[in-house]
Amino acid sequence: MNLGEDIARMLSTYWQQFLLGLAGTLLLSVVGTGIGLFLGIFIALGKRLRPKKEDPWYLKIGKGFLLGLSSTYSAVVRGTPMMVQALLFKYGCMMLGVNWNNILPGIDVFNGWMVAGLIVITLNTAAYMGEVVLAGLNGVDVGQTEGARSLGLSANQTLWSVVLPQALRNAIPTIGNEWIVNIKDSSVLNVIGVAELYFAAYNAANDSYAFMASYLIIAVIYLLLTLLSNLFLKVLGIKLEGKHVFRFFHGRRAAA
Amino acid sequence: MSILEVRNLRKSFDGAPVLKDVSFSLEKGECLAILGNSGSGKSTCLRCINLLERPDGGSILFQGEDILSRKTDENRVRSRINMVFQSFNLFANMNVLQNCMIAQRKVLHRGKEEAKKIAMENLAKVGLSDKADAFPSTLSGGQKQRVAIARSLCMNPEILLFDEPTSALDPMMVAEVCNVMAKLRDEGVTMVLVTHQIEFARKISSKTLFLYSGVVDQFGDTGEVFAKPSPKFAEFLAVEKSM
Ligand SMILES: Nc1ncnc2c1ncn2[C@@H]1O[C@H](COP(=O)(O)OP(=O)(O)O)[C@@H](O)[C@H]1O
Ligand SMILES: [Mg+2]
Repeated sequence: MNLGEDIARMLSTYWQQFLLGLAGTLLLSVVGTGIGLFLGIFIALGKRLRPKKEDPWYLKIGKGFLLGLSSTYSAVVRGTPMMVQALLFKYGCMMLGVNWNNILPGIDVFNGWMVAGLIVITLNTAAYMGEVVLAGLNGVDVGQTEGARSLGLSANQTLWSVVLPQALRNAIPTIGNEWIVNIKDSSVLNVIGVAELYFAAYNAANDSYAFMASYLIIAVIYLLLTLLSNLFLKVLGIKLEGKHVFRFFHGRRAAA
Repeated sequence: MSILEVRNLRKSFDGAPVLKDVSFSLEKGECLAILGNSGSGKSTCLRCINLLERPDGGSILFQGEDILSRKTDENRVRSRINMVFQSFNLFANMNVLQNCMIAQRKVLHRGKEEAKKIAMENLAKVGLSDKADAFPSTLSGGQKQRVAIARSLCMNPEILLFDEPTSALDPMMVAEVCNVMAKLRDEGVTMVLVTHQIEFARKISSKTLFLYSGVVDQFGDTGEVFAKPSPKFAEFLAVEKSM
């Protein structure tokens, strides 16, 4: 058998499946990264909570609870493989009487399992994004906060208008990395039947017995995707850098 | 009634007393210079007045109101007593105009057009009308500090606190910032200035306070304090002059 012929045959026979798989992978990585980033902001904020001794008792308890919750969530999710999380999610839902098989049935790719996969990758990404945003927030000079507070802006206004935009801007390269990781790692979601790129190749390979050709095709697609994403991130980085927008006085407070 | 009255202010960091007993008062329209060695507690004193630090004891009366009381709205007080920092602290994610507008919009709830008009007026006052669209990172140190002053002026503060506003600047740029401060003093803006520029402090201030390791060593009319310096203040002046 000739690999070149196999590849040509696979592409002409299964191109629709590969395209749908590609769409699934893109959907998972974009939604997972986007919503995961949004949720990650709240995980980071939770991990930054510090009960203070002058806080009233209910604030101390509330802050302590949210701090514990976000820290535990972050540690557990980052400490277990997404494949295992997907399986726990699937069977956990079943125990609660929710079978994703019965949700949006009869649709090929964007079925219940895709929804389940979107939930899993989003919740997984949120934990990593929590760390990314936390590092970003800690990297913003405290002078930015003091400048804002000294004008009368509240802690919340300072966070959302001054500190967070800078934290996210500085975190763009790391956020981009998470996206690229998601493009590749969404492949593990096939364990719960999410129709992404690997899943498409797996089915095509078993249907045709052209294993090498199938996996070679998706390997190239994955590579192209990540290369293009990297290029996109580079261009974005250069565009933003050109504006010199986020350089500022460094050093916590001058010595004297 | 004094606009600001500080009584027996005390503040420690990790058990180390930084302000031991600081008292002074300031009348509306006055300029107070706070002088002292590095580490004597000057910044801490300003930061307590601006409520960036919470003192351990003593009281601070602003227009007769005890701002250390639990009932005080800290954000409102901060919007009335602004601080200009050595490190400028301009918002890096906003251009000059936005820097000058955000607190007007969010704290004073001014309309967009009004806030913009006031911002442009104050930028004109510090000579930076043409920099409204520039981002802080593209400005020189002196320009940054003048923007920071304009940003505070937009709030129509009752008191402006300056914490070594020229210490991070090249000598060339010190004068442009000093000129702005002198102009404000002439307009009757109440201010407290911490600086190591003794001659400028002497020229601009009506009152002088010499802080020595967390204690007020001398406080009074600038003319008198310089005419009859205490031994410690005299030594401080001699050392500063020799530098
Ligand atoms: N946040 C802080 N934590 C611990 N120590 C501090 C803090 N801020 C100031 N200090 C200490 O307090 C002393 C006085 O500092 P500061 O008020 O900045 O003095 P000055 O402005 O007169 O040079 C210094 O010894 C400094 O190290
Ligand atoms: Mg200082």
